[in-house]
Amino acid sequence: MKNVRIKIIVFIGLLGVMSCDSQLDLAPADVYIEKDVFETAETAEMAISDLYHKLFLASVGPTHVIPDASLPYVGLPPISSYANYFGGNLTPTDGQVENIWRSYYEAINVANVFIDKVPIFGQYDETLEQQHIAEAKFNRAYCYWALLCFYGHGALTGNDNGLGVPLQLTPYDGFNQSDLIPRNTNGEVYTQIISDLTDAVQGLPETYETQLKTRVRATKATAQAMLSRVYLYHRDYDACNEVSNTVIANTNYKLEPELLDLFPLNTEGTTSTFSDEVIFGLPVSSNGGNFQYGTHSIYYYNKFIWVEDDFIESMDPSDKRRTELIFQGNPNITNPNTINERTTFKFNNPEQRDDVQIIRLAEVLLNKAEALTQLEGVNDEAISLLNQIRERSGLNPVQESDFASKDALLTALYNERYIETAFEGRGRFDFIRTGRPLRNPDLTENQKVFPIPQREIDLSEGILVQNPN
Amino acid sequence: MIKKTILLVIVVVFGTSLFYGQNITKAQTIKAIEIQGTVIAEEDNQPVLGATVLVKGTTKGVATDFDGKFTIALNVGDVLIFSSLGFETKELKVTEKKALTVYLKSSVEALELITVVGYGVQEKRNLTGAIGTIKAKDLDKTIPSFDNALAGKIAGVQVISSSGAPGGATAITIRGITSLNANSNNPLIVIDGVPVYGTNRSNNTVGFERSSVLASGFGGTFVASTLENKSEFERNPLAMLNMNDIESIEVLKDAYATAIYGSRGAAGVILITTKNGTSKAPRISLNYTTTFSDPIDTPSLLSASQYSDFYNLYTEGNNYPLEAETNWLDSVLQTGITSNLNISVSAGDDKLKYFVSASYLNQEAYIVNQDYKKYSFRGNADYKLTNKLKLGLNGTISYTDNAALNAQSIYRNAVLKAPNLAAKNDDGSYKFGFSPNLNGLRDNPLAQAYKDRNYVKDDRVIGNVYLEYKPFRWLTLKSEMGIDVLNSKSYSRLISRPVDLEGGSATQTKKNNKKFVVNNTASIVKVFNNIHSINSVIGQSFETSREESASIFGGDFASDDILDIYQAGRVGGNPEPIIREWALFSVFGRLNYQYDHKYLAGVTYRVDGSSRFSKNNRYVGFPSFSLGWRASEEAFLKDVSWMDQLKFRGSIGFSGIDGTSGYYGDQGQYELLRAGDRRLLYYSGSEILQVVQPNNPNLKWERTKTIDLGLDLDLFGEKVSLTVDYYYKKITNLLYASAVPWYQGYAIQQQNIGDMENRGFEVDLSTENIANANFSWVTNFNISRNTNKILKLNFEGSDTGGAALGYKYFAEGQPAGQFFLYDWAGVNPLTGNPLWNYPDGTQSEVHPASRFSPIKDNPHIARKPMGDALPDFFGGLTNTFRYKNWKLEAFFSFSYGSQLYNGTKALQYTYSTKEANNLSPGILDYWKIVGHRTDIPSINNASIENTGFGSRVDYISGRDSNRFLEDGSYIRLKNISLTYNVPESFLENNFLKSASIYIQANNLLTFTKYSGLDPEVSAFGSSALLSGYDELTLPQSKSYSIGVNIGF
Repeated sequence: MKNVRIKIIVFIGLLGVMSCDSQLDLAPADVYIEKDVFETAETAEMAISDLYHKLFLASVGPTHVIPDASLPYVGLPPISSYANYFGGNLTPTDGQVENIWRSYYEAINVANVFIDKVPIFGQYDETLEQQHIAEAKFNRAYCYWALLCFYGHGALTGNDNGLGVPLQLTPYDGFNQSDLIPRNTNGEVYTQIISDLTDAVQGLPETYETQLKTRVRATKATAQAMLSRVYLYHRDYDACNEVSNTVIANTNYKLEPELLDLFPLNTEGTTSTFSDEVIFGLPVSSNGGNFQYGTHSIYYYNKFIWVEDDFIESMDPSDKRRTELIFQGNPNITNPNTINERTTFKFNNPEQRDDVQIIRLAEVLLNKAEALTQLEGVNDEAISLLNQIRERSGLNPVQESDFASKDALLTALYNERYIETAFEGRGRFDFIRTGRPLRNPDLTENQKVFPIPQREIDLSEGILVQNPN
Repeated sequence: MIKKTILLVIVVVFGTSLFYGQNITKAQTIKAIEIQGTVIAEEDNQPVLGATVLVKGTTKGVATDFDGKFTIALNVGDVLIFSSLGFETKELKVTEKKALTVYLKSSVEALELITVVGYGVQEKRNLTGAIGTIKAKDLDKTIPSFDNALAGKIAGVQVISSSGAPGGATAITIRGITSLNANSNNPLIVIDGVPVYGTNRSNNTVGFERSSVLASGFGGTFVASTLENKSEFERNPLAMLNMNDIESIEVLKDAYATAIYGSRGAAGVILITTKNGTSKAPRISLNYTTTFSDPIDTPSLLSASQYSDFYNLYTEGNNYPLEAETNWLDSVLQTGITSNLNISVSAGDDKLKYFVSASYLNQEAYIVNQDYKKYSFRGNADYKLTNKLKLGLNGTISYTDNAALNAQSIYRNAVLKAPNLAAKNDDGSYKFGFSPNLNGLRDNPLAQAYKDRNYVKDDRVIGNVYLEYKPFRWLTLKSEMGIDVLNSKSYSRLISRPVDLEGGSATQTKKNNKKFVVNNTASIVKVFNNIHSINSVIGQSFETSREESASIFGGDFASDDILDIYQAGRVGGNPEPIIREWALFSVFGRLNYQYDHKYLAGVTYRVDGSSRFSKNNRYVGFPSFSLGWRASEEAFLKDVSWMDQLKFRGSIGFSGIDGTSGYYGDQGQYELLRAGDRRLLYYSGSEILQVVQPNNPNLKWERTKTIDLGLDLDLFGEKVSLTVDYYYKKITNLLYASAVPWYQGYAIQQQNIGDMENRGFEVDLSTENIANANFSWVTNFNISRNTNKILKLNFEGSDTGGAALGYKYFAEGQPAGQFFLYDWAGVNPLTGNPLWNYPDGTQSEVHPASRFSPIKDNPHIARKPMGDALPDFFGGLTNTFRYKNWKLEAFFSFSYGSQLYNGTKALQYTYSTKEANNLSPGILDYWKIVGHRTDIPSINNASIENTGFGSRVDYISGRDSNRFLEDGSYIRLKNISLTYNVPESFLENNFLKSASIYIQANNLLTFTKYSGLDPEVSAFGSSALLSGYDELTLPQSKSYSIGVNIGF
């Protein structure tokens, strides 16, 4: 009997060895799990690429074109989908109203994942961890700035109490009804953007190991330059002036003497380098080109959109931005409607693979000039900044005496700003911000703000409030 | 038909009850005596524990103890009945001898009364769960796969053969839809204790999409919401099992039966037990069947001149000249001949039992040059090392070569190809393209059939070895290890053709699935104090699976004879396999308690720890409870001699589905970003790692609670058996990919969004209507009803996401997977334009989604849920007649109340696209003149609408209106067979022991209102949720078989 019992025990014992809980901890062979991604510097670096990649996806194509197409300076065919965005009858189910919202929030989520997970899983160099978090915060801030420009009610006209966008600051972690959030005010969103950028300045490096990375990943100067833009948009001119000074003092960034070095001919679209003037850009051709991640889908070259003659004529005939940065576009176009139109050299690659410049020093100089003028009226320093831009384009400098009032100088700065940064994806915002009319001058202030996508309103169970008309 | 049968059965039941109701008890002389005895198994001389010793005609009885001993007081002349599980019942008349040794024979017959349950067996009469059983002899063995043979045989089990393609998938649904995931309604299949890779659309589908397709330019007409013809084939993974090897199939339906399979039991469990040796002398049996199959019906088509005339009229010019007359369909159809040979040898003695079999199947499709071959071998054996220790194995090796992958596509193209084109060029080569027609299909179905090569070759090994140790009669320790290995290579080659496929193309997929299972169980069967009896098992199981799959494709071959993809001009895909692994560790137990044969109670519990579950929710427990009452054992019914058994039973319990969330739980998963051709992409020199699945740690697992109330009734010496079950099955935490606010970073994510219920009843009735020496008539009938309802969702209603998911619709308070369609209101006889019903009750000639529609911004409000594809009632009826050595069997299956989308008709009425389909002659009744009343709109009508840019949209031929939705109810004579058993007297001087020959017809008759060819098809293979589409799906075959069975 005892013998039997021993046999049973041995029998069961032997079989029990076969199984063990640890065997349930399986890791996929073809995918990385989140914990592993944020554990090592090597994988986290690859995930960082996705931050910028998502930003790229969000900020090119129609997102880039709409702000310029909203102004009368961009030529459009008689029937154009861009007409929706300045016609005054934009619907909350419009494709781009949805797309811009969705793609920026996708990028924000990637940033949120970094900000949340690196402290939990990160096992690598502390400084690098902080840098990654800072890069995420820069990206998040940039996306919220863009969202405010499109959707914030009064965000560009100084209304801090107007409804901005919902501030989603934690990563997707499963969805419950309790995760539904209301829109924050413009002021709250600005505060968050400024806080993120201020944090980012702390964690970001001065430069990266390559010249290219320094231009296409966030550095201290990138965050500062972005701060300069955000302060200006938020009408905090003192802060704008102060942070602009830091950027301007940074010797890594110089105004490029030749415009054609800033926007080089890039027929191949496979190699090009960013000029020292570029503070932040998205590498399309610099990245090795060859359709690395598609194209920027900005169709100036093929003249699906082009530059209106009126705008070209408005520039001084000797202005290099007219003589060098305006050209015929694709010479093979046979469409009789556009064959004689001219277009911008800023996007000269036949296959839409130009690098996309997001922030450059010229803008910061003009930010500072505008802020100073707002603070001090007509002043030397602003005029000298303006002249730096003018002289680079071969124009004669202007003098203090040319401007009878603060407003006259401001108008000159606004005009210079548009000529300088035209087709770089911000025209609409600058015009709304400075109270100038869009292409359709009859638009009410309400009509200049994008509606919140209807889908989001529907899913929010009444928590998200739509913009008034 | 059904009504008549029911009536007949009732008459028979009552008629016979009168006859059997008269039993006479004889008076006896009384002399008391006390007997002490021992019950011993004849086979191994071991004492039989727990055997019932009953005084015949009384309720007095005892059970044998641990050493097989019993003591009972009774009268001389009484008859003692000795019975025990697995033994033949023995009766002994009591003499004055006080000590008895009773030997019980183990019984094959008695095995009939045993039901296989999860990790054990149980006496059928003591079951408290709902289990459907079918024995080998009741399976139609001319059908190549057992799952097809289950159709209509077991209540609550719905089996739809998806098409007439050899080796094609079947959709098996047990008690309704359990999950909103299109691939998660498949039951768990367990063969001899090894859970095998079962039906699952995503795991069994071989895709062979053309790797180069000319991009379609702008312009042309697009059908709104059409279903694309996908080049894919879903195999039936269960077809590898040889039907002749099967001893019995058990279908576990309620929670008490399935909860022991825990996280995988919710959609039901099918247990398959294969044969083992029984007879002492080796027994060789041989079976050979030849089957001739043709499609059950073929579609009517326009002749070449009708086709030319129609399209010339439509395109307003001589764009479709009459050049030739080709009947494409006739040229690819044939009578398919199937040969099936099966040989088995079995034998057994005290030590060794074995069963060895080999089978060969060669099945030709009714499409030319498309055949399916299967070779399978089995060896089952057990060997007694000692009286207490037994070693056993069950194993099967099978090899299938399915070269009929293209049958579906050939058939489709042969139906749709323009009949005014020649099949071959003047030089004898196949003619591709559609010149001189304006438009048309480029494929040449004949070239496809004879020149393209395609196959999927599967090697599969399923087997287990076990060691069984029985230290005491009441205790069995068993340890088994099993494997399921599937190696598969599929290859599809399209030959070169001008314009769109120069150089041809090929796709090759290799799959390697390996599964390893260990089960350790301890079973206790014991009787205490003669009145308490337990039958219990505790055990532990560990299962791992590794699934690998790699696909490559090539194009621009130098010659059509080169098959090797690496010789192609252009090679793509990734030869490195994608690997998926999962593991499952489980502990389970079951305790069945029985008091005095009257009261039954059971409890089971299983804890599953799965690598598929998120770490926080990794271990999930699944309890179940049951109660039973054998009322017929009570004193007040004991005397009702015509009632053999009356049992009430009820159960409640939980089970789950583990497949819905894929592998590795819901942890965040990242992948390197690649271009379409799989090149890595970079951002400033660094690879890009992006999320493919976000972290979702709080996702819960779908959980199914089932309540079952059942009744088992046997009457008149078991001539009438009735089983009735009512069930209520509620699924909570339904997982469904549903919208989240974009500001959360995603558009759609898996969420636990809903609850759903299934309720229904099942009736199984078998009656022996007539039984005498020369003639017998047995009827088996079953019917089931299931109603499904979604109880909770977080949205008002949702399309599942277009064509890929069959446009199915979910809404609270409605059955899952409804058709959600625009309401076609016929053709306006005044204008010839289609009329559409609007939600406000009006009708309009403007389609609700048209750009002219008043509701164009939200046209879906004009769509309505219009029923689902699962039937309200379904079942089967088998009648078996024997006259002397003749046996006639007829089996009808029926299904009532399902909706079926006649996509075949939709395609045969679609003339607006660039395919310029051949059409149904019905189209010729198109509206022609004011006042013409017809269902076919005028050729150019308002619902084929210009959208600008030279494009048009066709609203009348898509799958989003109820124009082609039909009632899919049917009654089908699935098979009728006549068997002649050669009389033994005739064989006496031969070495043959038995011989029979049979003829059989399958799918001979179908009664249906469905206007298509075959109501029993599903374009989405094994997915029950997506069933209900006939998309030129190969109809079932109508077949005639002749065969012999010989025993040596």
